[in-house]
Amino acid sequence: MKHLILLLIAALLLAGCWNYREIDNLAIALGLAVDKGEGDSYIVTVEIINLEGAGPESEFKPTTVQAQSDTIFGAIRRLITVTGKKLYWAHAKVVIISEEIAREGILPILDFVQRDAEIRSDVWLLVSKEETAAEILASTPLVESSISQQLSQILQHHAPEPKSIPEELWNFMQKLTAPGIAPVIATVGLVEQGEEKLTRIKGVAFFRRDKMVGWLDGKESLALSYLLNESISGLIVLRYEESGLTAQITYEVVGNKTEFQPFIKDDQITMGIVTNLQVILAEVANQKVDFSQPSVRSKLESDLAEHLEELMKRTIIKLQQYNSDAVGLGSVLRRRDPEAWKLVADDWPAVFGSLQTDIRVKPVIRASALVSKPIEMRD
Amino acid sequence: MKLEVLSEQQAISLMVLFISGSAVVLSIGGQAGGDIWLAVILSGLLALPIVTVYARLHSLYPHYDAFQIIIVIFGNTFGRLICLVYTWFAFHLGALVLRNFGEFIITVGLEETPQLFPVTLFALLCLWIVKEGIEVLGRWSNFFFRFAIIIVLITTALALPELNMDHFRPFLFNGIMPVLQGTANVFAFPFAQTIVLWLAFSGFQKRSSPYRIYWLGILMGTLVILIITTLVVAIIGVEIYKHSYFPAYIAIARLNIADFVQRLEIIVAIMFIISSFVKVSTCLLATCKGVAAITNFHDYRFTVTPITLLMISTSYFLFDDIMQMLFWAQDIWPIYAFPFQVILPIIVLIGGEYRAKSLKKQ
Repeated sequence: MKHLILLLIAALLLAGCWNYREIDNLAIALGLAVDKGEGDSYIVTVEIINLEGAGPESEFKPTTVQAQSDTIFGAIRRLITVTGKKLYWAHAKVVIISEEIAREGILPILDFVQRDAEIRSDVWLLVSKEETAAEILASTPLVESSISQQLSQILQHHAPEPKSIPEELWNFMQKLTAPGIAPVIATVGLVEQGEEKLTRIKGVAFFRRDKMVGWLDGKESLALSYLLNESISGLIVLRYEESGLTAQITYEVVGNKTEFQPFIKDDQITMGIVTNLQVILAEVANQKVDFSQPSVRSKLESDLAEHLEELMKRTIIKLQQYNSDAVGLGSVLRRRDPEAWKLVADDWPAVFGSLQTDIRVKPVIRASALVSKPIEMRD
Repeated sequence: MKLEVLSEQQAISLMVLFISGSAVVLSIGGQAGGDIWLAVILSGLLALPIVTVYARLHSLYPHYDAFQIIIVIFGNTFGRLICLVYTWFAFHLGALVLRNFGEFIITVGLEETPQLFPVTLFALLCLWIVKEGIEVLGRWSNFFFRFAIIIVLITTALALPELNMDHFRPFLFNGIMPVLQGTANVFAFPFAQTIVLWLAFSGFQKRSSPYRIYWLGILMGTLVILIITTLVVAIIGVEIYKHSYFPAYIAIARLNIADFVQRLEIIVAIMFIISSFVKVSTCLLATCKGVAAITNFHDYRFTVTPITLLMISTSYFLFDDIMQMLFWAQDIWPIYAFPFQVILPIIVLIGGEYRAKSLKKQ
């Protein structure tokens, strides 16, 4: 009797789940693109995958749907009237924001993304360089089966060719709330290849608070990556010239570490920046360049240092023009010299705008791949 | 009444799980900012003298449980009054933890499920174990303590690449005051809540020292809280730690080892369920023993079912929403709990010393 009652109770409890969701009643959302509509409204475009067919032959087909409303969540709910299914967000990969919205401030958008328990905080953020963000989702995925996955793959494997700085949502929010650092978001544009439009991620948009203020191109974002101590590799191509000998040299960065040291003299803050790079010679186009010679190597190193110092300087000056401390010099000051930071904290963007920097790059050529000496050609 | 006894190891496991309770998922001590680790250590140290009071009372009256001690010391009327106050405290705390559990479930997982449903199922299990007695609870804790330790170690190991120690710099940026505020907060919740354990314990096996139990319990509990808060702040930073309801959940959700080991939040949920089960059960046990002591019954078991049902409904109408719950846990609790957790135990100890001396003279 006792067992029977227990069984009955178990049957009551195990019979089902209140929040159950069947997979064929869900549309799995992969990517979200937000554009400005008329007035105060937003146009929300979502890439969803749909299960087609049944059994082993079933196939996931990506498609995009669009809705307009005054709030993001409102528009997303309105999508049900189009899809007939509730969207499931736990697999969302990317959130693309149009430039117009980025310039107005993206916190209203991020509030929903951050607040919703289903969207994971590791979605990638992107700012569209095209007219609208929706265009990006309409382009052709080349390798992956959907454009959102394609973008996510590109961002994940950006380290060998770091022309941009991928930011996940949580990282953006962290920089937004932390004192003395401004966030950046990678930018995505389209390139035409034949009849197809393909995405290309290059450069970053930099922000002041949650408002986008400007762009950095690919080279400048590389410089910013080194300043931010991102763990990246990256190629730098320079022209070598010495006593009539010219060659294109490709350096591959295999290790980077930037250290900061603030100096204060007469109430004037100077930020000392030292970037240590470990590079290997990845490609030497002219075999007459004898990199086994120490003198040649030191010339190669100083060329690289000069080039990068100039690039970093240019990048910081550009950021300073917009008072956007994307390098996080403020947070460095806060860590290293809290007392000095307290004096300038309230006015940091302006102080950053006129901050002196002293940039040194110290590259060390570690290796030259498999080749120890240039190949000598003989007839 | 037969005294139900715990072994030293069981008591310590029970204590560590009790301390981890809801503290591992709620954000505690956020006031201290980047110096939160210091606040946790300080409040752990601060808790040592308080638990010494309980241990001293145990060793003064080794054959009684806490409510009996209070009645022996203060006599029938006044002693019963203090018992009543403590019964309320344990009951209220149990309802709060139950509510934390309910909010956690409906916020992170089952948004459309009525909160009462998971809470009731959970409380029914607590009812069962409390009916079985503290020895079963002790054995249960001893068994699941290993899981808790393994969970903490695994998450620590997996979190290593995500840690950013810059969140702790600079040291004491806003001076010592915020750290002290954070200390007061962490001291009140969870460390000083161990008073409920004192109420629930009825005795230990022969040759085990109550001092060692309480001290080791507090030290290991501090260690667990320290590891978890430090990990969480190092992953998500101070600002997000302060602004989220369940920071540990957010932090562990971020772990991703090569796309292979990911979505580990469930680990936090498991840890939370294990430890808050112990916490609710202990509170329930203390309440039932309190009621039995006040009404002069020898066995508390017949009170368990009605009190559990009462606790479920209390947890339901304590707050309107999660915002109120967090406000209470962070801002009101330290003030509300101070008399229960610090002042009353000291009064009981003074009375106990005096009474023990006069008993000896006789």
